[in-house]
Amino acid sequence: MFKYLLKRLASGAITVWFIATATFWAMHSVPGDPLLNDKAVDPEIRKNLEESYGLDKPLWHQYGLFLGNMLQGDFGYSYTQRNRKVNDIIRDHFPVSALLGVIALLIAVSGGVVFGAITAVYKDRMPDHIIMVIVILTVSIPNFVFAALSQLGVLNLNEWLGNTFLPVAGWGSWQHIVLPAWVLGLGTLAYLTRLMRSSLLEEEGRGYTLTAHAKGLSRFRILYKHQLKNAILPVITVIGPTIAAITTGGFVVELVFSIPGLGRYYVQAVQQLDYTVIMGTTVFYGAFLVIMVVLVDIVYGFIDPRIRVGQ
Amino acid sequence: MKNEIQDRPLLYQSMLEISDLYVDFSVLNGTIHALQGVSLTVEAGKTLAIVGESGCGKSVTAQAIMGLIPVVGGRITKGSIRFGGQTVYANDDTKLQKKEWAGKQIAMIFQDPMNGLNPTLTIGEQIAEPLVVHKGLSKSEGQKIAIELLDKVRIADAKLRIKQYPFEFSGGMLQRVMIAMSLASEPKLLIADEPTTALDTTVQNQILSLLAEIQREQSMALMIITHDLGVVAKMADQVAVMYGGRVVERGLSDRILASPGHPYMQGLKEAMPNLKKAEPLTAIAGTPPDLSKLYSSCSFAPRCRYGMKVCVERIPPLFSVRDQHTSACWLHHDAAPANPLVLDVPHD
Repeated sequence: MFKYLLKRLASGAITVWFIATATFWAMHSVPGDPLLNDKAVDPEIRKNLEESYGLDKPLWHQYGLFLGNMLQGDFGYSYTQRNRKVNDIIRDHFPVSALLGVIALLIAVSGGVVFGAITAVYKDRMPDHIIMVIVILTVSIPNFVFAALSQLGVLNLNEWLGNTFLPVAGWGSWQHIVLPAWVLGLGTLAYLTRLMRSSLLEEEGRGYTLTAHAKGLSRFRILYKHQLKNAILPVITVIGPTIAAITTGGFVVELVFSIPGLGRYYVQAVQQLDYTVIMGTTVFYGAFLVIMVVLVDIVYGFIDPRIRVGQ
Repeated sequence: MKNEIQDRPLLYQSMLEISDLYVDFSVLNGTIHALQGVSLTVEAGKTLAIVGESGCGKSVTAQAIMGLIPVVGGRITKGSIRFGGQTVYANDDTKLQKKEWAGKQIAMIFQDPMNGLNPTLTIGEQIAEPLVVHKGLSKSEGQKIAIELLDKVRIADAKLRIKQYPFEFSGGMLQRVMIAMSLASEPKLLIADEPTTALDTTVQNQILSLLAEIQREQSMALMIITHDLGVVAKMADQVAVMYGGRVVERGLSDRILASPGHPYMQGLKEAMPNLKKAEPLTAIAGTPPDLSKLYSSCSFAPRCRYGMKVCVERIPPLFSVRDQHTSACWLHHDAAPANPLVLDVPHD
């Protein structure tokens, strides 16, 4: 188990290095100038700035410096925000994104499992048809459209009720989380519903399902005690990449709902070519995802005894 | 037709009685009439073997008893099943079977033990499940009984084994586990659907001996479904031979094996390899009946070496061949010729 973890983390480190390198070179090949502001900069100031950020050195040298600092966990100062270290930006704003992401994921997974189970049990009957039509609609509409639509819907609701049922933007209380988490989780919820449905229907034809029926168990018990644990494995598998989808999808949702999460800074940093913030957040998210995927692998073993790692 | 005994129980004290059962399956291009009027009885404490080729309706009959027909996607269109004073009719749903019979008074084990158990639950949990669900036992009480049951089916280290998962067992061991699981609720009838087909020969014998022994000990009835006449000879008190979704012959096992009354059963017996003499194997000519049509005449007639006009006109009912041996063949009708015409090839 320990050896397996070590191996996975080592390969994860290589992945992160690859992400960092690719981002570094891609970023530097984008035309533009991080120091180019609206107002013209005096050549002498510019020279000093370039010196202090190391931008006057050749790219290979900059790359080396960056890798060295990264290994020490230091991503340097932001170009655009006065006196703010990239590490501070991540520490202040990642928890907001993470909270939003976790709640969205909870909504997506629990909803996906429940609706998937309903559609499987009522296969080819009304509840199945209704849910599947909604699912296909949801999968094909991008979440910024949903964001705007749900804001509009809730605004109308607030107006009709005469008081604020739910805030439609901002951050600070649990009510603020509801709408963005719902919008963020919706696409994944629909996707997981489909996955869960087909996965459960596959279990329907397995021998153990027939055995369970022959034991005189109720349909509900067969579903939750026997089929769910087997059917949920493919869902667990996609949760790693799903975390990626939800956290990156979060960038847009954070902007629409003006939530002070890391995503907003990321998008801003790319627009302004804030090299250090781009590199810092990219590497951070890369490492985060690698760890999530390893965690998912371990969880997998808890559910299916056949693939318990290191045994 | 004074010797016709259609739809009357063969023997008294029958605990399970199926009469004139029809089961249909809807498929892409029509309907399969899997059962076309099955009638049979199971006596308390006795072993009944159901024999027949693939697709003759053996398993469907068992599934019908257990109320599994809707689960496998079919429907009972006619007939009734009576067990323990209660009767399920064609148009009823299977709620009664599920509530009163399946997993309580009747248990069933399946052909492929590797897929018959849930890979994600421990053996102990699965064995004790009927007790926990139906009898309200606690988890620890259930585990205690699971250990006893594993001992009974002779799995060593039962205490350790109940905490293991199916993938840690061999095929023969899993069939023992299935048997232990079916015994948990102390059923009056155990249905074994080809319990040894997926196992290798030495293990087959062990499983059959175990089943016979348990059947004697618990004095329960055993219904064993097989296409192996060797299994019939070893296990059965009574036999029901099925062909084309009907029971074509039934009665005491040694009588039927010694001198089969139905030409199909005669063909099956001749197809058995003779270990003492070196001679080519004989096979029954022709192909199994097409169950997409509902037969109104003998479905074996196209393959039969005896041919009479009545065979292609009317379905033969069960005729008495001798005491406790009946056969659904016009040859046993009182008016049938003593020496019927023998045909060389099957005719269509």
